[in-house]
Amino acid sequence: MIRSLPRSTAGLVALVAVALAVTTVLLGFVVYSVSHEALERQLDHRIAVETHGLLALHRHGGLYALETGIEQREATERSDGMGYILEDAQERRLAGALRATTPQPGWLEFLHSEDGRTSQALTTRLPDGARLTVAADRAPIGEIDLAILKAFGVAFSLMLAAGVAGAWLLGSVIRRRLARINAAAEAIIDGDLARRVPRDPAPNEFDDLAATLNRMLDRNEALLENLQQVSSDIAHDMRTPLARLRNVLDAAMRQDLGADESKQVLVHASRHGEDLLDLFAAVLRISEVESFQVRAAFQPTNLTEVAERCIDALRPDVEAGGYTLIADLAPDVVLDGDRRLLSQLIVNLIENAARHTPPGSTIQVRLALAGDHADLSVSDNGPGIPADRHVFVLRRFSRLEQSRHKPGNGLGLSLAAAIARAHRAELRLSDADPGLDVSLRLATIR
Amino acid sequence: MKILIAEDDEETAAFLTQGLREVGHVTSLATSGHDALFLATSETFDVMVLDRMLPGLDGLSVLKMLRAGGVRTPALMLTAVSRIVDRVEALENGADDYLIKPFAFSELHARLNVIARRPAPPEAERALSVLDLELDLQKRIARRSGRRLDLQPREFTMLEALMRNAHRVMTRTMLLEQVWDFDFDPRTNIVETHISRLRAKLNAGFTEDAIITVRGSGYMIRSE
Repeated sequence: MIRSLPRSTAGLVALVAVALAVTTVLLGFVVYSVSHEALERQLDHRIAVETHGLLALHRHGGLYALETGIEQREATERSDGMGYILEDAQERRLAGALRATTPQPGWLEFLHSEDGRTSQALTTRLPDGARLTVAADRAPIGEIDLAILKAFGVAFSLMLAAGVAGAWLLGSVIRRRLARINAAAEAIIDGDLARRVPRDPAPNEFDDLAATLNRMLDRNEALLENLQQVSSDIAHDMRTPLARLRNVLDAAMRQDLGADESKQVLVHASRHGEDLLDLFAAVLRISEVESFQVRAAFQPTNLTEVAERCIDALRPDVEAGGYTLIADLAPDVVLDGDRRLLSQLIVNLIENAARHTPPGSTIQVRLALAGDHADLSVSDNGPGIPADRHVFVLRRFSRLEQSRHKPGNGLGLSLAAAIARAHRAELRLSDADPGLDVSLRLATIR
Repeated sequence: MKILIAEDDEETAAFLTQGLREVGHVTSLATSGHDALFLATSETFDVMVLDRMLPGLDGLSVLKMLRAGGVRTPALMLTAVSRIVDRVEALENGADDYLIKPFAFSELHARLNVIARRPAPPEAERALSVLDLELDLQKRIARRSGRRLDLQPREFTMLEALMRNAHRVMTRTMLLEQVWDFDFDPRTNIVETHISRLRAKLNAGFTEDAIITVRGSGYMIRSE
C-alpha cells in the first residue's frame, strides 16, 4: 500500500493537494450538516412556540378565539413564512390560508402546499376534535444550504487549483535545484574532481545540502590526493631497499662464495626484506587507524598509566643516548581509547624527539588535566622545525632534508597524527623556543 | 608435537610444514576449512595453526565450531590483515594466540611452544621457581639462591614471563606484548636494554648467566 504512493516531488505535492481538497469537502459536509441541523431546530422551535401561543388562545376563548387569532396573524407581518390550517371535527376549514390538506397529528417534515411551496408542519388535535396545523416555510433553510454548498464548492476548486499549481511550481523548483547537484555529480564522475555544487545566495535547506556535499567532496579530493601522494611515495621509498636487495644478490651470484660468505649475503638480503616488510606494516597500520575502524575497540583507558609504561620502557635507552627524559603526568587521566595505539603514539613522539635532537637535549612528556579534556605534549629543546614546515612533517613519508640520512621511514609522526585523529584529537606542532613541541588535546571521561 | 596446519596458500603451507618438520614436529595439512574441521575432530593434535582466510569455511568459523564442540586444542590464528578488530575477534572466539603475516618462522615456533603447553591458570599460584630463582607472586619479591633481588616492577613482570615459560623461547614481540602491552615494535631496542639490565641484577655475584640469549629468536630462562 505504502509502496504504491508516488515518490516524485510533483507526485507528493499533488498528493498533498488532493488531501487538502478532500479535507475541504469533509469540512464542507460537517459545516453543512451542523448548520442545516441548527436551522431545522430553529424552525421546529418557531412552530412549537407559535402552536403554544395559539393553544393558549383556544384554552381561554375556545374555537372562536383561535379563529380570530389565526386571522389576525395572517393579516399582519408576524405570519411571515408561517401558514395555518384550523379544521373542526368534521374536517371543515374554520380558518387558515395554507392551501394544503390537513396532515395527521404530529410533526411532518415536508408539507407540500398547492402553491408549490414546502413547509415543516406540526398538527395538534384539540380536545373538541378540531385540528390545528402550524407550518413554517422551508425556503430559508434551502437558501442557506445552497449558500454553504456554493461557498465550499468555490473553496474546493481554489484548493485544488492551488494544489496543482503548487505541485507544479514546487516540483519544478526542486527539480531545477536537484538538476544542478546532478550536473555537478556527473561532471565529477567524468573526472572534473574540482567541480562543486553551486551555492544559493540565500541560506536554505538546499544550500545546506550543497554545502555538506561540497565538504564531502573536499574531503574525498583530499583523500584522493593523499592516496596518489602515498602511492608515489611508497613506490619511491621501496625502490631503494629493493634495488639494494637486488644488488646484494646480483653481486653474490657473480662470485663463487664460500658457505660463510653466502650466509652473510643471505643475512644481508634478509635484512633488506625485513625493512620492506616494516615499511608495509607501517603503511597498513596508518591506513587502518585512518579508517577509524579502530574506534570499535575503544575502551576507558588510563592515559597516565599508558604514558608511565611508555616512559618506563624507553627511559634506559633514551638516557643511555645522553638525553634527559622528564615526565610530568597528572594522575589518573581516563579517556575512551585504545591503549596500545595510545602507547604507540607516545612512544613515537618520544622516539621522534630523541632522533631529531642532539645528545644532551632534554625531552619532556607532560600530561595535564583541564576540565573535560587532557593535554598531552612531548617537547624537546633541540633545533626544532621551522614553522612553515610543520604541516609538511605530518605528511606520510615526509622527511626534512637534514634527516634523510637518519634511519626511519618518515612514518612515525604521520602515524601519531592518525592515532590522534582516531581519538578525535589533532596533533599540533609548535615552537618550544627552542625546540619542538608536539601536543594534542584529548576529551576525557569522568 | 603433532601439529595441524590449516592453510590454503601452497607456499606458506610448504614453508610451515618444512620448518616444523625440521625442528622435529609431525604435521598434518588441511587446505580448506572443512578439511581442517574434519581433521581436528577426528585426530588429536597438540596444537593447530589456523589461517583466518580458508576456502569454504573460514578459520574463525572453524575455530568457533571446534570450541563449541568441545575441542580444546590450542590454536594459533594466522592472518594477512592486521586489523585490531580482527585480533580481538579471534581471541574472543577461542584462539590462544594471533600472528600477522608475514611472520618470521622463529616467532611462530616460539608462540606454538608457548600455547601448546600453556600452564594452568595462575590465579591460585603464589610462587614460581626455576633452578635457584624464586618469585613470590603475592609480595612481588624475587630471590636468587635465597638472596633478594632489587627489581623494578617491569623487570619483575619480565622475569615472571620468562620463568612461566621455562624451557621455551620468549621472542622480542612476545615480551613487548606481555611486559609493556605493546603490539608494535618500537625503533628503540627496549627488550634488549631491559633484558641486559635484568640480567645484570640477576647475575650480580653469580657465575652462571640466568638468561640465555637464543640468537635470532629471543630469550629463555636457564632451567638446567
